[in-house]
Amino acid sequence: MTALLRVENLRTWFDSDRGPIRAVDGVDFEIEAGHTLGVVGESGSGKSVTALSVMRLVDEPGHISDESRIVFDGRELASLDESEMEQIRGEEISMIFQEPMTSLNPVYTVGDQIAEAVRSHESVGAKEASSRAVEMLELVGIPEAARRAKDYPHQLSGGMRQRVMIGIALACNPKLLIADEPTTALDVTIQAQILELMTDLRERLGMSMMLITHDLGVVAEMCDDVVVMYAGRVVERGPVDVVFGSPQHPYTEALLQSIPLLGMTQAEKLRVIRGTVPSPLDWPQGCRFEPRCDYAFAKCAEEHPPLFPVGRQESACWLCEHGPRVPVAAASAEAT
Amino acid sequence: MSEFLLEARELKKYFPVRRGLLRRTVANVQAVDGVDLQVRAGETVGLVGESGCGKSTLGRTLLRLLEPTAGEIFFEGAELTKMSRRELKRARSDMQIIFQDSVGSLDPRMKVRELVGEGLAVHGVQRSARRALVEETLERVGLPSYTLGRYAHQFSGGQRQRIGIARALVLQPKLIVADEPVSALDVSIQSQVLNLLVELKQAFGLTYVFVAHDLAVVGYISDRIAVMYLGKIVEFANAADIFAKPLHPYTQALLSAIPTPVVGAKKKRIVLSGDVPSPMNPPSGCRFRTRCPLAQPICAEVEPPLEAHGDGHLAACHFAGTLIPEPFKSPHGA
Repeated sequence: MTALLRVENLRTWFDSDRGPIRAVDGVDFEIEAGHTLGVVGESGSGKSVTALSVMRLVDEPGHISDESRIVFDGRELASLDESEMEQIRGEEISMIFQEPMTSLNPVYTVGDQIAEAVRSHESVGAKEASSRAVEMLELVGIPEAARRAKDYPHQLSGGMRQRVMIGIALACNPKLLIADEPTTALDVTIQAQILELMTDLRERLGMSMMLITHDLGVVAEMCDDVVVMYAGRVVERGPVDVVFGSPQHPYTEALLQSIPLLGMTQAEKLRVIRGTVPSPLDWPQGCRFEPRCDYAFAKCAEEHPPLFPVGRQESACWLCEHGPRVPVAAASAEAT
Repeated sequence: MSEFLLEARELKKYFPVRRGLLRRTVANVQAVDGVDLQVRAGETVGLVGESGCGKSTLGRTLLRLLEPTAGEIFFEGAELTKMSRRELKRARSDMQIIFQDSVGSLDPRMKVRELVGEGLAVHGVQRSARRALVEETLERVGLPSYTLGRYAHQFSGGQRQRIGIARALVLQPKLIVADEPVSALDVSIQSQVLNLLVELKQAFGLTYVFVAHDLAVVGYISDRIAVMYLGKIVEFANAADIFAKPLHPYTQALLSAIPTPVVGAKKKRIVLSGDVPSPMNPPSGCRFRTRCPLAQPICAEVEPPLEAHGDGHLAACHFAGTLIPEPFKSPHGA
């Protein structure tokens, strides 16, 4: 197995007056070359900070702890200095964000912004960079690319702006594209366009992708593997089909059962996860999902479960210590 | 008396676009452009569509929170559009609204007791009676009574939405317009609020107009669904029929575009080309024709009316019922 990116024991904490905010607190995962990894979780689970940590874009007061390891293509990123890291960003790993309007510069044309990305990594002339920009706009499916290159970001629709962002990100042919909620701000028909574009480009350019999202549907359609995050940690990971088909961690299971599927009616009650996500200043001592878990027992509150292998997936739940968790249908009814 | 609790006829809401020194109206955003809608007592009607389709404007215009540009609205047979301010105020205690943005819609300087009791005060309920009603309502929406003295910022998003629901519920309305009530919430909290809305509806025999962009959520809660596109209803039918046999090509595309987290459900998609046209200058004829895979010359010339196609299933399309072959990819590149 060749992992393009391997993250081990990643801890990214933010200092605050009230103590460290442990946003990412011991995260492990890998992305195989050519694969798409989905990272799912709710607000505050640490998924975006994980992505920023891989890019080494975490600013003060945040810092990545010394024992964290981020190995990309055989190189240890956590210890690179800033100038070496700049070479990696854009050229080998690129990132796109949720809101393209705030990521694009409003006073430059989109063509100039792509050309800038090209020239900052390759020694090409202005003319060549501009024509590369038009090529990129064509690649990301913008009609009349040559004319559109002269447009400013505000002249484009949300979907078009996200295409431009993808164009900038891919201008230097990176090996890994990190996309943080790339379609969350878009309408479904536009989301469908962007997801299709991303799938198409991944195949054509042979890159790997890390897709961060709260939308389990997007993961099911786009990703090979999935990492489910909760409260700064990975609670479950594995190939998407097995994780979604037979979730081993109670959180994954509850998450999948709490969303209405297309065509579902009120007759079927939605699963409720009681309470709310705990505070990153004060995570529960044992399993972080314990206070909201329908299956919790004494040990859960005391000791944090490591990731236990269960077939092709891994689950951080004490009920998976000796193999697959037996789903107890009655347990949830009793607990509520 | 009409068989409907709420009825809109030929309802229009335009927003003028003013430019220049004299602030002359140079164009109109046709946010809602000729909508007929009937809501029966006790049912939930979902309004669904993408940004800019007019669903939120319609929701607000139905309560006359926005003055309609043209058309009529009837509530329990009385014409809302002709009511004086005083009559309207009285009618409003029967019609409430829940907003998406629970931060922006709750006054940060008011305590929960005041937030929830505000409507009662406006409608002249005695202070002594208010307290009991507020406490009872809070309990109904799942907030403990010790929260009465707290401010909105001390609550999580899900709890704030419960406060918003309590504000609407405390007046014991007949109709609640819920405008994207769960869109800002995480999925685990979303299911709590959806279940609550369903429970309340059953307990109090409420009628909902539920506005949302998420077709799965709208489908879950609604008895009937109106699909909107550029200020018009393009399809209106029982929720089950919308999912089982969507007649309008836009509904078909919308349904096929939604990613579902079911393993093995990887379906072929209909990917529409282009963006939604501007509501300032909508296309002639059928407004969906510029993105429609089935469009023919007639679609540019004649606007298709919203017509019945059996079982109360309405659709506005010259080729209603024709299926878009899947997977469909637009010829202009997606």
